[in-house]
Amino acid sequence: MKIAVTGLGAVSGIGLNVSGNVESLRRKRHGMARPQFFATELDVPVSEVKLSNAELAKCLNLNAERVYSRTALLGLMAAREALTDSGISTDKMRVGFISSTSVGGMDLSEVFYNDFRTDHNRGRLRMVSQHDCGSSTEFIANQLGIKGFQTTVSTACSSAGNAIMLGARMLKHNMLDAVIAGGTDALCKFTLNGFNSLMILDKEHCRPFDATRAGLNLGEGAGYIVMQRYEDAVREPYCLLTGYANANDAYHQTGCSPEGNGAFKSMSEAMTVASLQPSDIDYINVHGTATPNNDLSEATAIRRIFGDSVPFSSVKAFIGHTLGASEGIEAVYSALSVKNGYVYPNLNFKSVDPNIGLSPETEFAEGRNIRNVLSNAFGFGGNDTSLIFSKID
Amino acid sequence: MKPITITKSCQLKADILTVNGCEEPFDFKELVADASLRRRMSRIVKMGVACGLKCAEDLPSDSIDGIVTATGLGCLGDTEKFMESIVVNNERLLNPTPFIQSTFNTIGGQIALLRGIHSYNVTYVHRGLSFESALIDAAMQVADGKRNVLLGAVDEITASSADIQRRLGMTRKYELGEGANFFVLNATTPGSNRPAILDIDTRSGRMTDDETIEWIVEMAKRNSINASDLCIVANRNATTADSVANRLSLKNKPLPFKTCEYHTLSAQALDFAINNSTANNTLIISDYQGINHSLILLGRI
Repeated sequence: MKIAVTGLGAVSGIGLNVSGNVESLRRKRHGMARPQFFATELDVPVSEVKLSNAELAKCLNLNAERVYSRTALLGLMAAREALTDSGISTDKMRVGFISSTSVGGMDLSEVFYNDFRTDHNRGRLRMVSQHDCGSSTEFIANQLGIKGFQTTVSTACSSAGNAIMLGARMLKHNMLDAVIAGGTDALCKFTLNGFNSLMILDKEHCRPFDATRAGLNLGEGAGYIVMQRYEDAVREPYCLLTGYANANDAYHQTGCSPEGNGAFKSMSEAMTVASLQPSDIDYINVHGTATPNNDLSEATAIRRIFGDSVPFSSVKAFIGHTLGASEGIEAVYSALSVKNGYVYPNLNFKSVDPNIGLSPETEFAEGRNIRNVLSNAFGFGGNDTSLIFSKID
Repeated sequence: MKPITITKSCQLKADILTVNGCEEPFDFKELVADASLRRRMSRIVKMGVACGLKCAEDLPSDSIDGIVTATGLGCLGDTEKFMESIVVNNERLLNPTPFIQSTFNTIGGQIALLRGIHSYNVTYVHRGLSFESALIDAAMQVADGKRNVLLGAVDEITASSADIQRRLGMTRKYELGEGANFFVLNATTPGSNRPAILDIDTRSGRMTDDETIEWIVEMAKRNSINASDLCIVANRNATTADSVANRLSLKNKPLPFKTCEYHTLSAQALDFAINNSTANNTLIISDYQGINHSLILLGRI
């Protein structure tokens, strides 16, 4: 069965919709700045969506009197764009919504906690009732009028890849006719401090795969794709989703194995699912967080499968690591890569790391013949996911 | 869907471990030998890891083709610990351990790490349908030819979450609870008389009793089962179960499942049903806060 990608939606620090994102990628405009939409003492660059919650609510025609988690607002923005783009109607078939997030409504819980911590009878309940990850999913589904299957995935930074994978499998098992799948995550104090405590944040603009890379920058946003069986598409699909796999590195709770075993397994298995050989992959959207450990481990796994011949790049220096949203946004980029032959520049790459020996693409290109794009997303708990987007033959 | 066999069920509740419904002694030190690793683990991680390792102990690591876990609120204790440290230490020099372990997939990841299991590993966090989502995923994995899938659900109560849930009015009908449940799922071996999952479905939003009954009849029909032969296990909503039993003229009385309240309670209901129901076909009806509904149909193959 062919799974077609028929709708795209993305919001990130470099654009409020898909075309805004592409325009920034083309012009090499990154989204990094000091945090301005949440209070923090930490002085590190992050890629925030450049609208306040009130502005986001206004854009979405929501009642400004109510309280929404930023994760829910960003998610609704991107999911609505994807659904509209696909042209499907939610009441004529079994449409599912599979979302992912790593923090859910933590931005509100933090505010609640400030009052609650000293007195458990204090703190406004509306600020904590959206804490759980399922809350944003149910909110978005209700807003979009989706009555079918809904669920939420949370496997740290690979979450959205796993949400997309579940969606494709449910289509194959004929449990759904169409599915909106991807992820959403808003930045908050909790996340920024978490990554800071791990000492993997770069105080400067991050440099994926560069010899001088010193850590990652965080970002926020949301990205969703609509998938349907190929014959059901009401518009010309962007591409097909042909391969997917999740594997576990089983090496360390937060670090990657030096041989990149989990990544090797997820990429290999995704190619098996797609019935493709390494020589069929024309471009890799790498996870490429810019931590010394991730990039070396991922590069080692790539070398083991592809040698040093496949063009690749990381978009993390544009949008930051958007965690539970990352593979949602990057799936949108990858689908456009197949459709339009786009290659995205890996910003800030200057010198080859001798331990890696690979150079990413550094210029925006279009019109290349890209048959298959492999897209990676790796997370805590050794969680490695690879997706493959392919031209419609 | 193809029937999926449950070959083992483990439950850890109030420090009591049951394996296939029978109490068994266990020593966490034997399950996790590394003392510093044990020390770093929070209560929910210990509960989940102990229960999961116990459930998977007879299986070679390379025969486990998937670990699928569910949690409604995840590692709350560690989440609060890290939040508190942000406030107290004013964002400086924080210990990363509670942050790392606050991640929702910590338990699935730890089991993979401790047993060296490199296969599929995903976590669902969708309120009262977290466990059902994991079950649907695991059932698809088995149907696709995967050998053994370890399926689990874990939630913990903390003093803070108890106070918040009380203030939100979520405890009007039930006491708060917590627990860990794990199951080994694999392809059906006919003639083994093992409990099997025959069907599962979920719905979101308010439902009337009429809609629930129609839904049950539909599921029974597509599985060629006479609805009146079903034995009902009501997960939370006993009044709906009684109304269903009356309206469908069920031959068996609903099995009394003593409920408490937490997001992944349906995992406990499944353990209860497979170890207590003697009927050929058992149906678990779950209703979480009137907005998350599920039907899990069991049989013996």
